[in-house]
Amino acid sequence: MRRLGLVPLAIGAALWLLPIAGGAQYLRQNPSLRESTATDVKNLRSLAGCWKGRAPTGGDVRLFYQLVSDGTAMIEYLRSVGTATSQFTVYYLDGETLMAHHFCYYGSQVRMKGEPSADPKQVLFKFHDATNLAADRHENHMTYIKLTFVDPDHLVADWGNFDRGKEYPSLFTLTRVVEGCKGLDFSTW
Amino acid sequence: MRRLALTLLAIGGALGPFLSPAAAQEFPGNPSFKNPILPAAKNLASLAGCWVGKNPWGTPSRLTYELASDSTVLVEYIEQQGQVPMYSAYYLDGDTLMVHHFCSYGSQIRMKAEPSPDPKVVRFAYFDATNVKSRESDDHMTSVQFTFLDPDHIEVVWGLHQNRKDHGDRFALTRVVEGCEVRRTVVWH
Repeated sequence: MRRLGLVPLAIGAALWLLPIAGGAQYLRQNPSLRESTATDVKNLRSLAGCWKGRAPTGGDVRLFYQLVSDGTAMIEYLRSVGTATSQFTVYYLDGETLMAHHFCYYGSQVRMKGEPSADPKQVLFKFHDATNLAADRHENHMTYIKLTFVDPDHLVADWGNFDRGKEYPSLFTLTRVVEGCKGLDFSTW
Repeated sequence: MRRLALTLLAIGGALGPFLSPAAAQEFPGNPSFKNPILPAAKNLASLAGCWVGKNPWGTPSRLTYELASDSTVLVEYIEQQGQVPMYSAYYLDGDTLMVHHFCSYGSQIRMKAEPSPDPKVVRFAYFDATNVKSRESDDHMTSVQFTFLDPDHIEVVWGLHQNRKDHGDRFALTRVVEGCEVRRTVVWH
C-alpha cells in the first residue's frame, strides 16, 4: 500500500522534472546532503518525510522534512497542532560542517553549527550566530538542536530554549508517518 | 510543591515557541511581516500565496510564498519544470530585509535589500555565502529583484554569476487564486 500510494506522486514528480535547459544546476565541487557519506549527514537526510509526535506537555506536533535544491538542503516544517503558525528550519552543509538556519517565531533567526558527537545516533547543533538577537543574548532564543535517531521510524528531537535567563531542553518524541504523507503537493493548481 | 511549580514553569517557558496561541507568540521587540512599516516589507508580505509563470526559456514555473514562524519569515518555494525545487527565506534583520537562498548549485547565499528609489522595486544584493570559495570563478546567485506591477502580477529577476559572467534570469508571474493551496500545513493525521 505504501509503495502504491507513492507511485502516482513519483510519476508526477518525474514528469515535472524532465530536464530542460537553463537555471542553476548542482555543482559537483559543492557539498551535498544527498551525496555525503558522513554518518551524521546520512542520519539527517533519512528524516525526509512526515513525522508526528508529542511535545513535552503532551501537545501534538507534526513535522515535515524534504530534501530540496538538488539534495543540498533539507527543509523542516514544525507545526504544533491547534496553533496557527508553523516554524521553518533549513539544514545544509558548509564544507563538511552541518549547519541549521532556524527561523524562530520568537522573531530571531538563529544559525547553528553541527558539533562532533561521540554517539553515532546523535546529531547536535549549537548556537553559531543570529539576527534580531542582542550580542549579550539575554533575550529568549533557541540555543541548540539535538536529534537522536532511535531507529528508522523513531526520533527524539531536543530543542534547547533560552527563556528568562535559563536554558531548558524541550524533548519531542516522534514517529514516522507513512500512510497519507503527502508533504508538498502542487497538483491541485 | 515548590519543585513541582518550578518544573511546570520551566516546561511552560521552554515550550513557549511551540505551544503558545498564535496571537501571543511574537516576541514584541523583534521585526515581523505582520504589520510591516517598510513599504518593501509590505510588498514582500503581499506575495503570500501561489504564482505561476514562465522562466526566460519559456519553461512553466510555479512559486508559493508562505508566511511562517508567526509571520517573521516569508518562505519561497520555486519549481521550474525540469529542475529541482529550491527554497529561499525572506526575513528582517532589524529594519533591513534579508534573504537566505538555498541554491541548487549547492551554495547558500545571504542577500541584503538595497535602498530603491522606486517603491515598486525591491532588490537584494549578495551579502555573504557558504560554499562559494571564489566570487569570480564559482557560479553563484548574486541578486534578486522584485517588481510589483499590480497585486496580481510581478516580475522577478534572479541575478546569476555563471562562467565568470553576470546575467539576469527574468520571470513574469501571475497570482493564482483558484485552487491555490499552500500545503505547508499538516496534511497527515
